[in-house]
Amino acid sequence: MKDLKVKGQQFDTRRERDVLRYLISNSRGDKLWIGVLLFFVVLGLIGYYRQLKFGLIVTAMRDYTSWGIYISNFVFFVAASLVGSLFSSILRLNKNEWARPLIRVSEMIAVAAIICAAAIIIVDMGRPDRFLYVIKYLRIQSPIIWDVIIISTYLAISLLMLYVSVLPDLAFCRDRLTVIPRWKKRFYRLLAINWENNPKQREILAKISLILAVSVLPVAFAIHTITSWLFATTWRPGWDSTNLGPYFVSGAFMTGAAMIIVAMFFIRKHLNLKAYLTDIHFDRMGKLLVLLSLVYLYFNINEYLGPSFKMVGVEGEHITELFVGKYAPMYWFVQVGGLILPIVLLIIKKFRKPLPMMVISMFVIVGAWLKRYLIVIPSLQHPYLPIQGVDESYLHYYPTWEEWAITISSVAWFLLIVTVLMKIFPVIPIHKESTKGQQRKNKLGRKKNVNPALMILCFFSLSSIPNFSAYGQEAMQDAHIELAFEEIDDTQKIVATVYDSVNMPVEEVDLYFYVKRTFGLLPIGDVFNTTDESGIVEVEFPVDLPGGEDGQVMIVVKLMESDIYNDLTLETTKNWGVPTSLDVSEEQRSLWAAAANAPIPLVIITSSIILAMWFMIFYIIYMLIKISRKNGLKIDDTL
Amino acid sequence: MENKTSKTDSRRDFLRKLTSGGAVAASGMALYSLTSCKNKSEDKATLLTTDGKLVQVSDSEIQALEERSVSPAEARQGIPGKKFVMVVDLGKCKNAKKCIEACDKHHNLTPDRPYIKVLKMQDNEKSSPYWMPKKCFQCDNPPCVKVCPVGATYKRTDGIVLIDNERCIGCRFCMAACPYSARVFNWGTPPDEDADITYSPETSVPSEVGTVGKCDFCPDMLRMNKLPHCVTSCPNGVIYFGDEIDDTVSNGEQTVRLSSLLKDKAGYRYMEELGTEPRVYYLPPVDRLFPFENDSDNFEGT
Repeated sequence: MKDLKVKGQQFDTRRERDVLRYLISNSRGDKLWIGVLLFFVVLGLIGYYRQLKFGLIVTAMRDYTSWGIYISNFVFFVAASLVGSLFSSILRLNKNEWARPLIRVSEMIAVAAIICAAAIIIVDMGRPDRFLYVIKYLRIQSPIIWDVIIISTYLAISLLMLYVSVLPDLAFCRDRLTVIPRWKKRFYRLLAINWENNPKQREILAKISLILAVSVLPVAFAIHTITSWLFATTWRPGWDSTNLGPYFVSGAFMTGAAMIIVAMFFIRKHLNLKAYLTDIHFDRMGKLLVLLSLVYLYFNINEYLGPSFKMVGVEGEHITELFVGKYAPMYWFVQVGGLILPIVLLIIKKFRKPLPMMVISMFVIVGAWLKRYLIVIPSLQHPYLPIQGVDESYLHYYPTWEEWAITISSVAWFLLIVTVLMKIFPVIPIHKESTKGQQRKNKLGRKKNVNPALMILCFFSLSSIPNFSAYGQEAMQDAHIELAFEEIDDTQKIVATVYDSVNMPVEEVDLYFYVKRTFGLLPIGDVFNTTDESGIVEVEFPVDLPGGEDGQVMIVVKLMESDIYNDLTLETTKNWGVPTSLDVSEEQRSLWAAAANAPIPLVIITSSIILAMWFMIFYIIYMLIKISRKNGLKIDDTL
Repeated sequence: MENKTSKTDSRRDFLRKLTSGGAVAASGMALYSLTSCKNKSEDKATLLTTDGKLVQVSDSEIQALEERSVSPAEARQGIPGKKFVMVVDLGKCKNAKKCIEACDKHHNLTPDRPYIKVLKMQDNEKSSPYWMPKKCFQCDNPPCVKVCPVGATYKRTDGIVLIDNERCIGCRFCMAACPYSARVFNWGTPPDEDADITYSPETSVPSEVGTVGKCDFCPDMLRMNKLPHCVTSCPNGVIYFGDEIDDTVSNGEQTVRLSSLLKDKAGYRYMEELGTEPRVYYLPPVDRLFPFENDSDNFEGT
């Protein structure tokens, strides 16, 4: 039993030794690996420091290309996080026993990916200091809010899934590992919450892991579907598609499977787990990747065939640029190298071996990342209105070193999180049978009244005002106007009579009639309204002109540009307009209303989903607390 | 340049007098005293309130109103009883870019990211190109407002869509959502960020780094019953602006019925099919005032 001893730690079985060896080891390879990752993390931090200092100007993003590789990277990580549900839920509920050793890796990748996705979206914000406004001023109508909610929900579920799955192993580490530092012992003691592996505890754990397995699936689909809605709710070419949800989800599963393969390859090699991650696992994962890629290929064809057949306006320009334009090399690399070729190769049994599969999966992952680039950037460069009158730099998008540094560092963060998780949690379950108890319980499935002719006479007496003119225009005379308003049937008339200073009617004078409006005087009547021999001019008032609340309108009559008479203005208010109700009634409930006026169905749907999911999360936490209370289990037998 | 400024200023001054109710009559030259039956004293102006009453306000009060900037909370309330609307006559535009200059000046914008763009448009190969001044369309079904996670951009009762840059988180979802590319972003520190001006969403100054900006229909001017800067600065009277409830629009010199203008000249809204219900109308580029001349500095993008 000599070979069961590693660095002074005695193990009972070979499986225990093989699984736990990495947790107690501290090899130079590990240090180098973490060192390299930290280097890229620091590089990213320098980039982000510069971005915080100068603003998003350090990026190549400008108006038009207003989202760049941050957003494509975000979508990529959201996609990667879906893999947790693929293994912990789909394969598990389908009783794919072979996939069991992969559950934990997938959960670790899911946790790391969703943390990186959440972080990268904050990096993309122009004002990260206002992050909490998302909670303070939350508007449930915004798909971003839906995304924030679902990401936090999925993060909580992913953490719980990982935790529930490692709990028995944590207790084992607490009880059995002797050669680990003290903080690590305390850490295991804290996290193992009094797990004694008694039947009652196992029963609760089996129950909650099944609840998690069932509930994670809709949340996983939702997380990537909602992420696709960030694009699908706009009119951009390539985004304005009903296909986007399933397209994103299927692409995510493909990416996730490829990630698992790459992870398997390195874990198996570096952690010496050849006996547990066998060629059979690779073969099965290869077939699974083919299946998932075929589904994605199907949605890809759906995504491009319709628009490329129709070639409508900007959508056509977008398609042209992807197929034969400046993005063509990338586009065809993604479609052929990252999708078709992997399918073809992986059909051949010979390629379903660890090394070729790892290489093919790397192509799939790189293709998946570039695919997100192609989804985000070219679409923004084809707006409905031409891009003109802006700086040259607004026309292209070449990411800056800061953007690349931050993006690469996000990948480093991702790998670092996965590495740390693998350092503290056994990557595959220590005991095979510790998961068996759950299996058996897998039975749960899911106008104006016209008065008679009325004559109103208005007489405006005008005081003659001394003329202050410095230029001496003695020749100019004062005139005055009498206004009469007639209402006969449907017509309203303004009758103006012009008199001179000795009260004689004036002939051949032009009067101007206006209705006062917000931004000026609206002319009414003819272009020239000239007085007749009796000094009278008649102007018809428009029937349908809107007035104030009671239909009041201000009529302005002017005498201007006369060679004989001084300029003169008369104003009077009449209720000849069409009354308009100043109904500044409350804002209607709508998608563009303020947060408080969100549409009721939307509020009900979102809040019930949030309540259901978070009730479930808190229920699981409650059950975990129950597990931690040794005595509580015995007293409270009803639950 | 100096001349142009004083010219626009005197015109604006004239307009203000024109609009300030009773005090009309004279042009800005003060050859005659400002007379009106309603006028009791020279330093008072008669204003028509929104509920149709005439009130007398001293000029100093008007001045005070001009100085006051509306707080972000107050700016969420639209100007009561108004529905602002714009009509752009494409037959009159010759790409003089005076609207852009006036807008940039009043909003402290740098030439690389103006709120207004005058686009060279050509509907098809056989039709003649024309200039299309484009601002924010202030949609009644605004895609940008729908997607804002924090309500930093909002639709007011007077139809204007504004941005509160003290709330904007800089996610740029509104920029992606706007089908008309109306929005600009403060990628770096804007030149006026340290200016000693109280911020108001109604003036959109000062701009703030990491937040979104766009054409705001100049609500600070509208509160004073003045036309937006682009309207008054246009040498050709291309842009008409007004209140839909009034059914009247004005380009500063000419005041016309909105409904008859749109009927007579076949007014349309850009990309009606999107259902965004813009508050900006266009009059087709027919009966042109100027021949189309392409100038080199308005380069074309992709």
